[in-house]
Amino acid sequence: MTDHPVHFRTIEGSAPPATLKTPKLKEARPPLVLVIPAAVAAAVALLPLIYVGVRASERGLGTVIDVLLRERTLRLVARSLALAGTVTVACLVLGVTLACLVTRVRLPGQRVWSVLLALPLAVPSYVAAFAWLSVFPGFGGFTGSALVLSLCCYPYVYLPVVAALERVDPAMEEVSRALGRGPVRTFAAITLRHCQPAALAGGLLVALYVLSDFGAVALLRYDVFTRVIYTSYRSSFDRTPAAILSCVLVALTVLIVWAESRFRGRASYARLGGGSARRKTRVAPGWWAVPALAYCAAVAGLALGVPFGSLAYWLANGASAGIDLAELGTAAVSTLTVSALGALLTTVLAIPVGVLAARYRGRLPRLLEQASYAGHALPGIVVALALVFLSVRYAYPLYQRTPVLVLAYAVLFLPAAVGAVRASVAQSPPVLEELARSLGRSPAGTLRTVTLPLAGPGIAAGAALTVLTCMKELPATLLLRPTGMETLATELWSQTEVGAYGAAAPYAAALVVLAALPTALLGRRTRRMGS
Amino acid sequence: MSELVVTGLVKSFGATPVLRGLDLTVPQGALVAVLGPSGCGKTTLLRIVAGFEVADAGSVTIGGRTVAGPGIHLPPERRRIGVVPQEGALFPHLSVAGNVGFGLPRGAQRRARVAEMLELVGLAGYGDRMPHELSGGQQQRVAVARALAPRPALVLLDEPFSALDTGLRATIREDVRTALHIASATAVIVTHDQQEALSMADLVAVVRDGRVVQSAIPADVYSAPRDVGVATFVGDAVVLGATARDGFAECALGRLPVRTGEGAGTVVIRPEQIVIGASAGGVPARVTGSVFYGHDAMVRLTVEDARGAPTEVLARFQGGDGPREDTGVTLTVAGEVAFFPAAS
Repeated sequence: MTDHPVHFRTIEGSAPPATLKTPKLKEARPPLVLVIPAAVAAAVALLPLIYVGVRASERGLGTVIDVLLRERTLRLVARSLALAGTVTVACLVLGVTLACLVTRVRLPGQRVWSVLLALPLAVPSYVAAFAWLSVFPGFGGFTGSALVLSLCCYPYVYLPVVAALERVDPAMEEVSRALGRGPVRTFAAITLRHCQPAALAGGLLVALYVLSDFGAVALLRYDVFTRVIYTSYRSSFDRTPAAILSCVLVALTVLIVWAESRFRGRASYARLGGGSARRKTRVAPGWWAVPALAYCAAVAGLALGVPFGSLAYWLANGASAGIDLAELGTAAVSTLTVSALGALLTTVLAIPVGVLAARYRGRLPRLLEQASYAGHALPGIVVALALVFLSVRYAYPLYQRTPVLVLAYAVLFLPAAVGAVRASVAQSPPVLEELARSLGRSPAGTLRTVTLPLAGPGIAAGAALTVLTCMKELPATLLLRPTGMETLATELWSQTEVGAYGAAAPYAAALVVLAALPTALLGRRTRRMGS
Repeated sequence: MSELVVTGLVKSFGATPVLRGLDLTVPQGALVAVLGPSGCGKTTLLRIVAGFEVADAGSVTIGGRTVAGPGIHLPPERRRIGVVPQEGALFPHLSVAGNVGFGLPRGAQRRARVAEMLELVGLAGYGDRMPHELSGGQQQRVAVARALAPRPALVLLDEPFSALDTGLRATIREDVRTALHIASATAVIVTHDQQEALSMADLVAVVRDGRVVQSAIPADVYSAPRDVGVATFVGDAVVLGATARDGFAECALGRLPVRTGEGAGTVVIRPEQIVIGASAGGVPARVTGSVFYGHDAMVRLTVEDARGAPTEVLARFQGGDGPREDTGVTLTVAGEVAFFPAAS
């Protein structure tokens, strides 16, 4: 769109720019060259959500109420919330205590600990479940699921709390000491207080992860929503109950996303401005170093030692039985192919939404961005189910073909991709785009010659991360993969389900390597920023 | 290059009015400085003229063509306006030549024009450098070359030198002024720096509260300000209560010649008009302090007004760091002073 409206007024409620001198966001109406593709992306993101709703209500309100009020449904809600609550509390305790130890206590090998304790993030939950099962075949149920998920998820709390503790200005603690508070009271009143928003935001992420996790609870045979939706879909011709349960699960996750966004909004107020370059003081623990080290070692041993130990064991044993390298290679290639396609579609859809969100304010850009975040509240199993329904009914030739799987990846990972685009576009000042316009470039030309080249590296990094995330994805891949195609995740799944742990191990190892890549890259980047 | 006419511009951000009916005329080929304190609306004016922002009311005409007005909003790419933002804002992913040529159509003439522009700003041969390899002043020169390259109808400069250090600023100001004159560009420079406005511009438009209070040649703005506010904003000033009659104003510094005015009011005297002498034949004053600037010194003194109350005045002292504190001196005022009758 080249012509602007005659009189564009700010939408009510949108705040005036912080400084009038260099307004950060344009007031002009966004050009159609962005709005139309962004609207397409938003529609794609909302499609599964809407369709699950449509499908759930197809049999009429009676069926909905009937399914909702079944004792089993209510038990399911209770069980899901109990698991999410338990894991969240456990992660908060583990994450905060470990973060304090690593940042504030002079421990032998503290650098190694700080890296080791973040690594469980690289172990997909279903790989961890496989590892525990293969060591203790009877393992499972509530305790097992809670243990495995806690060990996988505590880094979601640990990492932000470490970051928050690093940001605490030592001057703040010194002031508190000078005002007469002892070291312990200062730590409680100032230091812990300061990382509370980070811990809570991390905890809510954990809750979200647990509710939408499918792989671990399914392998460990604990009936929460995701597993029941899957079995109900697999075992019955009537798919309405599966759709209704999906809606309930979505409602629960929406509740958590809402809570998380509220906390995140407040947390940003608590953040400090420019960090101080001064070194933080660490407490010398004396004999307390022994239990502290034992604690760190226990967590690392359970979260990393068990998965890696059992992987090593099965790989060694499997090697004697002969690893089917051809099959592993085929699975790796198909994984890479569908993941790359998924990341490509996700990024293409994310670019217009991200640029709009970074550069324009007002109701329309905000609405489109929020719609694209639908995947954030949609567990993979729900998206998969919705796309199964849709393709079976309206596009049967595409059912269990690559395009539908790729579309599922796009819906699921659009939020992260939009975030990456938004952040990398926001890094360059809007004045560059205004200059391009005044030098004669159209909105589309400006996007092509200025915005995208500048944001390119960030967008590419986001796309690479999306590839890796797609590779690890289990439930949607399981339901939507093309007939006859196996990926690393689905091979691991089917071999573990039949107890063929040795055969599953190479796939698990391959997945861990893939999943560790972004963590390693992230670590390197953080270290570079720190130096 | 063409004339710019801005009429009755009104703009608010939310409930905050920024421009309240701003009028400004920039003659063809002239360099006009829009001078005002931060937050007076001068950057908003510039952004509306460039087409980055839409006005609530009013119109903008360039060379007789209305680019903004009721029912009209020409997008920035169709206005033919060159913009030099604060700190240059070069495209970091393009070379110097890529930056200067950004607004030019592809073709054989592009290279020639880029070379010509780089020569104009004194950076011939820098085309292959990347922006981060240039100093702040060089970046600003490239920004000027980039703005002038497509032969715009009008060039807008938004506090272009505020990020440069003082020594560099004077040279680059002069060079940019020369470049604009060679390109015979009609230009508007927005600044809060009085020296910059007075030394560079053909005309100075003083903006206050979203309106142009005075638009005149620099010497007139300085010596014949519209009101006390303008007077004190464009330079150091001594403001004294006075009574005017028959072309003279009676104040604490004696009977001073004024151009116009009758009755009670205030006079504004520039510190360089106040001459410090040791001999008789002036108003007696006592030195209370001084600040030495190198090229001159600003001396603070007290005199007694008509009722005998002490009043502080400032005098610029050339050659040395001025008389010692607590010495008695006499003051005389050279030239005409500005008189403003009290608001009735």
